[in-house]
Amino acid sequence: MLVLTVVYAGTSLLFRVSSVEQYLCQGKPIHKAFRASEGVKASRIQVIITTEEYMTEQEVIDKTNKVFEESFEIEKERLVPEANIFVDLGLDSLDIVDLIVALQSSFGVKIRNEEKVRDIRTLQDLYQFISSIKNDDSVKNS
Amino acid sequence: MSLKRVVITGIGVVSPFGNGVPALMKGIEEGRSAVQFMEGWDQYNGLQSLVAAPVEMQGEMRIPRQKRRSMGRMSIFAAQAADEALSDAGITLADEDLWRVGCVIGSTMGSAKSINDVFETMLPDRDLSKLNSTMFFQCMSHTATVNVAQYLGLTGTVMAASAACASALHAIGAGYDMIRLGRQDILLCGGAEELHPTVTGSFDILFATSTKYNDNPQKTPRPFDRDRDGLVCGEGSGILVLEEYERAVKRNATIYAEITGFSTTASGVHVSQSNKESMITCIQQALGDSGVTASDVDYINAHATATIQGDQEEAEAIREIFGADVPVSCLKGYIGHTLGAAGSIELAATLKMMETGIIYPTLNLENVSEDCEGIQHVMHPLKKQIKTILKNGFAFGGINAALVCRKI
Repeated sequence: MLVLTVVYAGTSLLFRVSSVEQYLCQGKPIHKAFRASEGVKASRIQVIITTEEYMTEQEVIDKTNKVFEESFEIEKERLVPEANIFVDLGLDSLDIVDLIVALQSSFGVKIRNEEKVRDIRTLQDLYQFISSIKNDDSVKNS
Repeated sequence: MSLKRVVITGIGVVSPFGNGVPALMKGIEEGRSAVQFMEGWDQYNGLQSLVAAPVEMQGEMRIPRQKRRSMGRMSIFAAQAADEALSDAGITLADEDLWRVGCVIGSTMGSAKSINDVFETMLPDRDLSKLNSTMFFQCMSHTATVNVAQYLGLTGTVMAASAACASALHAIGAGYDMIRLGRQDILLCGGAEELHPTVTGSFDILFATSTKYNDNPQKTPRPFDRDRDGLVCGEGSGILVLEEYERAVKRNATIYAEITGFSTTASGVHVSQSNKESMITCIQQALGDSGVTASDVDYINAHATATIQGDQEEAEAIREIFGADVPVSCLKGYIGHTLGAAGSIELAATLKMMETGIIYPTLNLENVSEDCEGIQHVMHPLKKQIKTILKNGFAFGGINAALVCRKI
């Protein structure tokens, strides 16, 4: 996926497109259409395009589950979304440190100091957290 | 207060010959060498010794993950050796008062590979965020004893001895004292160590390693031999079950031997060189503690790492006390120098020799070096009733240790 950030006058708009063609609106790039409608100068508009991958939910689930299988030796069958990471999967405080290290490495994100980490209980919580961080992060990195 | 008697009722070993005491004794009986050329070690510039006696790790996945995650190689070896020792002793921990059961296990340092991994992970980018939670527990100096205690659920005294190559004997000596004083009933004692090019390197830069046999690894180390040229590192763990005598008798335990004497001295002279005067005092004190004289000793299991100076000093010390009256052999030709584990792995093998009445020779000792003459070198398997043994262990830092055991 491509992530396009259109910045104008202190505000930014975000577009996620699978190809540049999707960025066209009636044959013109979206920001040009935007300019035409708003009457703003093209030179004042900044467009940042990154190729940072936008991950689908399934991709996040698969990659997260792989961490549980490889780092914590947990069988695939037990990795259901409602599984409680502590109670059902048996991770403890040290494992959580390792989980963070493994997820950071696997997804290329920094989550160690994210407050929201503390609220995670189930795998589903984790998938959602990673999705939000990963996909926000891809924008931040741009 | 009268001192308690201390006996050894179980032994367990992971050695370069494999897991278990039977594998160790089979390798020794067959006169094999576990030393091999180490592929990849030549990438270290300046490392001259490219031989070692590695352990092929096996069965580690049987240790539950949350116990295993804090274990480097040496702790896995120690846990496996501890399992074997307990089973050999016929002790079921669930039946014991675990406040009276502990462990004293030594090693030269924390897990060498883990220490290297930490710095290789952290230093390139000066970035700590890639370090996982359990690396520190693998690196700390008491890693082996802590991991064994956690693995087995021991709640008595948990201590580490760190005295380089005398670590295991220090651990056994400390355990012996604690049981003698009535502080503990059962202690798992011994040492553990793991191989890494940087460990061999620490000796290599001092010209203490064997460097002439990279093309012929099984011919080195050569303790007491004319053509010896230094030590060869090995790895593994040896764990002994030390138990208070009365309770061992009460439960009809098989007793390998009674520990009757221990001593440790320091040279105070040189940080790396061996010193025969302090060795002599150490051995004499151990004999005195044991209430035996030199003529009572039936076999000496030497430290003999095959360094030029160390072997000479030890041979001179033995000669001074025992002359040529007592058979002497050393096991490092078979399994290399297992450093912090040497004292306990070699004592385990010595106890088996005591059991079977066969003394195994010093492998690779073909021509006794002139400077090591005057003592009774065992060059071929020797049948002999063994009642009293002396185990020597010497270490960097000028540290000496000697242990006396008697069959009862």
